[in-house]
Amino acid sequence: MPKFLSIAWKDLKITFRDRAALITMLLTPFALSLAVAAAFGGSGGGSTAGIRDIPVVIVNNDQGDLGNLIVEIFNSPELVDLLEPTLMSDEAAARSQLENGDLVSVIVIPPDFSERLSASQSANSEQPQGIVEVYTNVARPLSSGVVRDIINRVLSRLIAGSATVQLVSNQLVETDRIAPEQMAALAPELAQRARQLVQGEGLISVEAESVAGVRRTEFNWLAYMAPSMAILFLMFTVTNGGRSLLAERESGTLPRLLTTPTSAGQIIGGKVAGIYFTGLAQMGILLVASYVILGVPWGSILAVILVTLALVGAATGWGILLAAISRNAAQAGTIGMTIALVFAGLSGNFIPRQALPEFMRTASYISPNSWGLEAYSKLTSGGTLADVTTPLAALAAMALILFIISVVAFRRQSQ
Amino acid sequence: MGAILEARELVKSFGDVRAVKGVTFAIEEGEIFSLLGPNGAGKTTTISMLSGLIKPTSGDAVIAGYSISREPNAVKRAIGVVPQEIALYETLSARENLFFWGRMYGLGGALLKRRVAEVLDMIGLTERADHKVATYSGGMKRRVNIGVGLLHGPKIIYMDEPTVGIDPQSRRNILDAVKELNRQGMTVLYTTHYMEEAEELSHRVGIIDHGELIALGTQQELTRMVGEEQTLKLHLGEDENPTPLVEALSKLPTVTKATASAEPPIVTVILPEIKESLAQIIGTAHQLDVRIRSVDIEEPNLEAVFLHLTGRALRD
Ligand SMILES: Nc1ncnc2c1ncn2[C@@H]1O[C@H](COP(=O)(O)OP(=O)(O)OP(=O)(O)O)[C@@H](O)[C@H]1O
Ligand SMILES: [Mg+2]
Repeated sequence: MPKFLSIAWKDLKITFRDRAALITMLLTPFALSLAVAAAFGGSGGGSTAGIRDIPVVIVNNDQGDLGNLIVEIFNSPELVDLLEPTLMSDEAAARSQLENGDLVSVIVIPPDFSERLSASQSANSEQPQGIVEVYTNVARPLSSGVVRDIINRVLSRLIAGSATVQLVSNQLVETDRIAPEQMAALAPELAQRARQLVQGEGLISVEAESVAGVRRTEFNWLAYMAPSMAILFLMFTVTNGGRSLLAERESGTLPRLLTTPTSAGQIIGGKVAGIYFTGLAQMGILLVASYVILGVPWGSILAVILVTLALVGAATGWGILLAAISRNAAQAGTIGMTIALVFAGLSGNFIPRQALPEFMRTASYISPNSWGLEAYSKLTSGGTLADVTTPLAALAAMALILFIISVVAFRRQSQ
Repeated sequence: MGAILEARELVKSFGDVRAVKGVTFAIEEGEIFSLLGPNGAGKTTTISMLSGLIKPTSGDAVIAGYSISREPNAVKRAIGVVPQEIALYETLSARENLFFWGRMYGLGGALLKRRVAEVLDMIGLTERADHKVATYSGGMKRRVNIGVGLLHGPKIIYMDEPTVGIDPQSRRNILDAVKELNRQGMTVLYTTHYMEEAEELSHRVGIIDHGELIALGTQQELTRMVGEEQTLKLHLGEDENPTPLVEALSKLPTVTKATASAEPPIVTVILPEIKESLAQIIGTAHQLDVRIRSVDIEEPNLEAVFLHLTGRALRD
C-alpha cells in the first residue's frame, strides 16, 4: 500500500472509531432531515407530497368569460389535493383574511380581464403586466410559490390561446363576413372557442403534471432535507478533516511523520485522501440509509454516484484550503464551523432556496452545497445524468481550483 | 570505529532568536552521547536539524555517510527519532501505532509483522498491545514512543528527553532500556537536563547552553576542567532564604563560586580546599542567622562543571 493510502486509512480508522464523530456525521443529519420533513408535513414515505390543501381565495371581477376559466382550472380534479380554492366577491375581506394568515394567496381577476386578454394583439406580444393580481402570504413562501406557478402557467397558455382567437376574429372582420359592431355580440362565443382551444391543448393536464413535478422535487420535504442535511454535515466532516491536519502538527505526529522517509507531498496527499474517503463513506451511508429506511427517491444511480464523487471532492477542497490558511487547529475549528454554516445558509440547506433573496442565491454558487443540492434535486425529481452536467462540471472545477490554491498556500507556508 | 554522526557548525535562527549558534561535534559508532543542557538551551532544535525536520540556517551534518541537507531521505532511513513530546495516535492501539509508523519507514508484510512483535516485546507491552494508547500510563506511552523509533532497525537513535514527566520506576525502565540497546550495538544520541542521567548513561557528554556547545568530552575529561576544586552542598532549613548567604559566600576569598536553588533550599559552593574553609562558611551562615540542616561534600560532577562554566546551576 502506498504511504499516502496508509495515512488515509489511518485517518478513516480514527474517525470511524470515534463514537461522538459518528453520531455527528451520520445520526444527526439523518435525524434532522427526518424531523424537519415531519414538521413541515412530509409523511416520511417519500412518495407523498408535503404541501397540500393550500387555501386560496379567488375574487373574480371579470365581466367576460375567461375569469371563470381560471376558477374552473383551480377547481379541476387534478388540483383538488393541492389547492383549496374559495370564491369571494369582497376583495377587501379576502385581503384581510390573508393578512391574518388564514390564507396563502388571494387572486384578484380584474373586470376587464377577458377584454384585455382579447386585446393583446399577436403571438409575440408581451405578457400583459398585472393582468391578474396575486397577493401572497410571505410567511408561507413555498405554498405561495405553487400558486404563482399555476397562475403563470395558466396565463401564458391563455395568452397564447387568445392570440389564436384574435387571429380568427380579425380574419373574420377583414374578410367582411362580420361587421366590427357585431363583434361584441360574438364575444361570448369566441370565449367559448378560446376555452376549447386551451383545453384542447391539454392545459389542465399539463398543469397538473408540472405541479406534480414541482411537488416531487421541491416540496417533498424529505427529498429536499435528506441531501441538504447530508451536505451540511459533509461540510462539517471535511472542515474537521482540515482541522485534524493542524491538530496533528500540534500533537507532534505531523513533525514525526516528517522525520520518517515520507515526503511532504505523500503526507498532505494522505490527509487529503483521508478527508475524501471519510466524506465519501459518510455520504454513501447517508444516501443508502435514506433510500432504504425513508424511501428517498435518489434517482439514477450512476448520476448520483458521479455527483457524490464530485461533491465530496469540492468539499474536500474547502477542507484542505482551511488547513492551508488557518494558523492553528483551534482557529481552523472556528473558521470551519463558520464556513459550513454560512454555506448551508446561503445554499438553502435550512430553508429552500426559492425562499431566499436573489443575491444569496447568486453568492451561494461558491459553495459545494448549492451545486450539490441542485444536482440531487434534479435527480430526485427524475432527472438524468444529462440534467446534472452543469453542477457536475462546477463541482469538479471547484475541487481542482481549491486544491491548486491549497498547494500554493502550503508551499508558501513551508518556506 | 568511525564517526556515525558529524555535526558541523550547525546554526539555527528563528527570526531574531538564534536558538543554535554553531554547534560542532561527532558521535562514534556504538557510543551513547548526551547533550546536557538546561531548558531552552537548544537541544531539541539541534535534534530537529539532525533529523531533517528543520533546515539549518547554516552548517551541515553527515549521518551514516549522508548529508542531512543533500540526502535527507537516506539520513531518515538510517536514524530513529524519539521526539520529546509523545507523538502517537491516542485512539489507536500500540500495535496499530507501530504498524502505521513501520509503514511510514517503508516496512511491510512479514518483516513489519515480525518487527512489531519484537518491539512490543522489547518495550514490554505485548499484553496491552491492543488497548488504545489513551488508556496507557505516562510511562507506557513513553515506551511506545521509543518503540516507534526502533522499528526499522536504525543505525543510530535520537532520544530527546525521554524521561520527562514520568515516575521514577518508569524512568529506571527507560534508562535500563537505553543501556540494553547500546549493549546490543545501538548508537544513541540522548538529550537531557538531568545531570544524573547523563552521568549514568553517557560515554561522552556535550554541554550545551544558550545554543552553544560549551564543553565536550568524557565525564573524566569534563570534571577535570573543574580542576582540583571540590563541591560543598549546604542543605538549609525549609523556610530559609538562600540568597543573602550566597551573596556573602561569594565574597569570601576562599570560595570560587556559590549558587542557590530554592526548593528545597540548597546552596552549592565550589572551592579549592574544603577543610580550611568549612568553619568560615558555617560561621557566615551563623552570622546571617541561616540554619543549615546538613552538609554534603561531593566529588566533582557534571553539575559542578556546568556551574564552573556558566556560573549557574543546571536546574533552578
Ligand atoms: N519554532 C521556534 N520558533 C521560535 N523560537 C524557537 C522555536 N523553537 C525553539 N525556539 C527557541 O529556541 C531556543 C531553544 O529551544 P529548544 O527547544 O531547542 O531548547 P531545549 O534545549 O530543547 O529546551 P527544553 O529542555 O525545554 O526542551 C529557545 O529559546 C526556544 O524558545
Ligand atoms: Mg527540548
